[in-house]
Amino acid sequence: MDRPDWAPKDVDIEKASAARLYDFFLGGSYNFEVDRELGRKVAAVAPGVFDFTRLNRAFLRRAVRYLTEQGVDQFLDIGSGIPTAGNVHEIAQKANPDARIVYVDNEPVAVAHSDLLLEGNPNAVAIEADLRDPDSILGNDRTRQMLDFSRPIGLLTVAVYHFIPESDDPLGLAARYRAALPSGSYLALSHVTMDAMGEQIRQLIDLYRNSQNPVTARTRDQFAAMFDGFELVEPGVVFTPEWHPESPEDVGEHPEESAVYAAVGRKP
Amino acid sequence: MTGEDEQGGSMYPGLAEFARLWTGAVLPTSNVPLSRGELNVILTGFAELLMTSLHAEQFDHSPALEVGRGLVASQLVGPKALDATIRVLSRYLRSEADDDRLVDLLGAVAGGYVDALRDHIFLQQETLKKAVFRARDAAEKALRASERRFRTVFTESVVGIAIGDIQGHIVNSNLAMQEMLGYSADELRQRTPYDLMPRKDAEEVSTAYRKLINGQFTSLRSEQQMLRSDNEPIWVHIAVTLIKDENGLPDYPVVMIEDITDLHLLQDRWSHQVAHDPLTNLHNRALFMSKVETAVGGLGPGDRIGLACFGLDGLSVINAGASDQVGDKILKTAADRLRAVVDDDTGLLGRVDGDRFALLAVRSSTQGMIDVVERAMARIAEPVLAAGREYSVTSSVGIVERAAAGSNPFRLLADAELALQWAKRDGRAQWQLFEADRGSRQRRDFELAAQLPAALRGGQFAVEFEPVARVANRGLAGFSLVVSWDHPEQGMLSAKDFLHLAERTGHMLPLGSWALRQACDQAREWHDEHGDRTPPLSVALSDRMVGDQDLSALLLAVLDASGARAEQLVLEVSPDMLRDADGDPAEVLTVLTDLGFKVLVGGMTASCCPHGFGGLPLHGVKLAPEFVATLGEDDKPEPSAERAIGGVVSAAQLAELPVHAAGVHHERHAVALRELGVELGQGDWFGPPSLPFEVEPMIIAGTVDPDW
Repeated sequence: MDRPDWAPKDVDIEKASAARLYDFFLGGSYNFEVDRELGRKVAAVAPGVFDFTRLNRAFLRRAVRYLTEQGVDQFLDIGSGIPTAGNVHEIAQKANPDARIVYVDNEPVAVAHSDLLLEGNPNAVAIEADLRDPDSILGNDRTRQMLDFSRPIGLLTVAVYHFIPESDDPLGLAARYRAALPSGSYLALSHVTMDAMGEQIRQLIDLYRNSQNPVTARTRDQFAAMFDGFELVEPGVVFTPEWHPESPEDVGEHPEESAVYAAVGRKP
Repeated sequence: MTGEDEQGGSMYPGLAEFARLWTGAVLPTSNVPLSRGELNVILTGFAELLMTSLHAEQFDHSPALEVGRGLVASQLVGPKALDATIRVLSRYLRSEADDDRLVDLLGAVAGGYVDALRDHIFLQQETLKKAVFRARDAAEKALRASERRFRTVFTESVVGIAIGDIQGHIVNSNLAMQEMLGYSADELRQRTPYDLMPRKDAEEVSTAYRKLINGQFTSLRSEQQMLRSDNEPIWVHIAVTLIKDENGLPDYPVVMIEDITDLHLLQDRWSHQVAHDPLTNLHNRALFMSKVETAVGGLGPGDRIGLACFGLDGLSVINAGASDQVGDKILKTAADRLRAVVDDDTGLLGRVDGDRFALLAVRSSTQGMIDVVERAMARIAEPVLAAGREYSVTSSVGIVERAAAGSNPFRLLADAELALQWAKRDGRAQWQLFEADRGSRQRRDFELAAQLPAALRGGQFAVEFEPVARVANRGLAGFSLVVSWDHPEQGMLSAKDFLHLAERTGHMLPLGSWALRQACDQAREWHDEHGDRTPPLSVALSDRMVGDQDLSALLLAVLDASGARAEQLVLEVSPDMLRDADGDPAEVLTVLTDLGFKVLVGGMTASCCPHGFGGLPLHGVKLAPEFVATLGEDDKPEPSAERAIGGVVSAAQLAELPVHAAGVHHERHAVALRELGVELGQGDWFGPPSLPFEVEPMIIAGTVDPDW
């Protein structure tokens, strides 16, 4: 982050971006050939990647529904990526039309994209900021206008912390966000692990290494540590399909093949 | 669709199973923002439409086309979604119709699907392009704004900024740069920054610039001399940064210079001053210590190192009596004389404090150090002529001489300064070698003294009560308050370990008042419980407390707060406090007795004879435990000790004062003391210091040997 804050960030579509790759894996068309090229390479060595992303996206949907059922009507979605089928505001506002959402991503195109999609929706905004700079998110005027920090907030950091290397102190960042949340708030988090599907994830990490968004997998314990200060909601830390499944078939025989841990915690 | 259909109310049996299989097949192919149940409801509807059109008499494409489009609308757009659908449909519908009709149906579903998918993809790609345009637009706006900002910085800056070409020629320069160097923009355009430097510097900088272009350096910063157009040299901070193009190749350099000529001139003087003492021109403490560190680091394993700390005796007296100039002259002369004795080869000198000099010698010997020190002391002691008068100033010296290996430079100086204190205390004008035992004991004392206030706040002090008995019959005659310190690292410390420190460091008043409060509270409690049977409780007052102006106010306040009465307490004072400077009875005695306290003279030894105590308002005298200890530990008491104690006892008896003894630890001591006429005693023989509940039975029984 040695770019001075007054210098514009490059809009670089010559390089693959994590947000557009994610869309590609989900079967979307919000991506360029450069993204698809890397995407196909990844799929060749880690064919499970389509399932990883789809199951993760389904976890996000169930988590938002669950939070809405708990009465949460404000959401902060950090690392929201490209808007695609089943966006947080669609799920939340279907249950509660007054639900308010702030999307955050550090990729300018993803943010411009969200802006386009949110035109005419007074209860949702997208801002360009980086998870690693909590002040730029929590202190952002538009965040403050949209969210009331004296009432419970649903913080969604789904499939984003694995883009934060240890050197950026992910636990320290998690603590900063936790401190900003009022009591009764929720944290929904998912994260790639090598505890299962180790070989595919290792190959995936290798391919992502030189992209704009290198990946760090974390163990179950490292994942659980990110919930420090939260009370985990049943069933605790599980693989994505196991978190509040909507039908038994959804879990399948090998939930660990989702390669992604998921959990939701409540700040007491 | 309604729930009833799903439950099997449909006109087609098995429709529910068909929809369930279809749902299961397509769900893993796409990112569908629906639960399995929700998708199942939609697909049940589609299944029913397809069945209906299969069984219609006249085949109609449109429902199947709509189903194909509907799949896309339900976000079943993954690469394998259509494939999975066709498989399920063909397997399940094969038995429902003939092949031609089935192929027509599947074709229509696929046609509708592909048609909608094309639209879906085009729409998504359109949106994505719009998003990219929007992001670029925003970025370009930001870029233009940043260019404006940069231009402002460039033109308005007081730092000289120039943009060059890759060869290093200046292309663009700002006003600050032009003014600093005295050239116009055009004149600068024909030059490189190193054309404006002295030849030697120019070579260095141009070499460094080449390394910057080669990528060996990422940026270049230095302090540099440059020449103005009038050939006047100026000092600058120069920073050169290479701007790279989008391929990461060097594009052009940006040079920034800041005029620091004034700063540079100042710095030269300042760096000498910061390291040297301006009066004597010796190294100051900081530089001296850094030199000591370097010296210690450079020594071999067998080498020794010596440090002597010289203190001028009585300089403060001279400073007070004469002018400052006299003091300065004496200091300067002493420094010069030290320098004459110690040349650069034999030692290193520094002024480490106002009137202190330090001398470091490497590869030293103890005798060698002493020789140099004695020579220096003799030279320093020679008279100094200042302001028309001759002054003689002696010096005291502390010397440390030890193996260099493992020596800590700061410990070296601290030890030498400690030895200097000993030399001064032992009568000045002499040297003292540092002794490790004495040093570590004293250092431990310093540490304890420093911890006292926190310990007091932290409740680390405790009180116990030592019984006082009649020597003749072991009847209980009182209690003596004993303070101890439960030190977190050193364990239980007794009063003799820390009271003298409290007295010296000024912590005695708070500690003493605390002890007094404990005593009064306890006395009150016992009196409430046991009434007149309660014997008096004695508390030692330190000299500092006795001498304190506010003693009576303190005593009154403590009595008031506790509810105790003065006559329930015995205050123990030291013999030194009985008379004032003129030898008259100290006023404080009258004050204490007027308040109603009994006063006991504690800490009596052979050297303080109670001959002159007659007529003073006293309650008795108490022999110091160390005095009692002179009786020795053998079966037969030391005759000389018995005589000394006997002398004090008879003198006290002459003054009609009863005699107490502290530290009575053996039966034999008790016997000897009784024979010598001592009435009361305390010590292990009569019972150790104990907690209130442990001594209460003594109060009830009236003896130090209660039956319990």
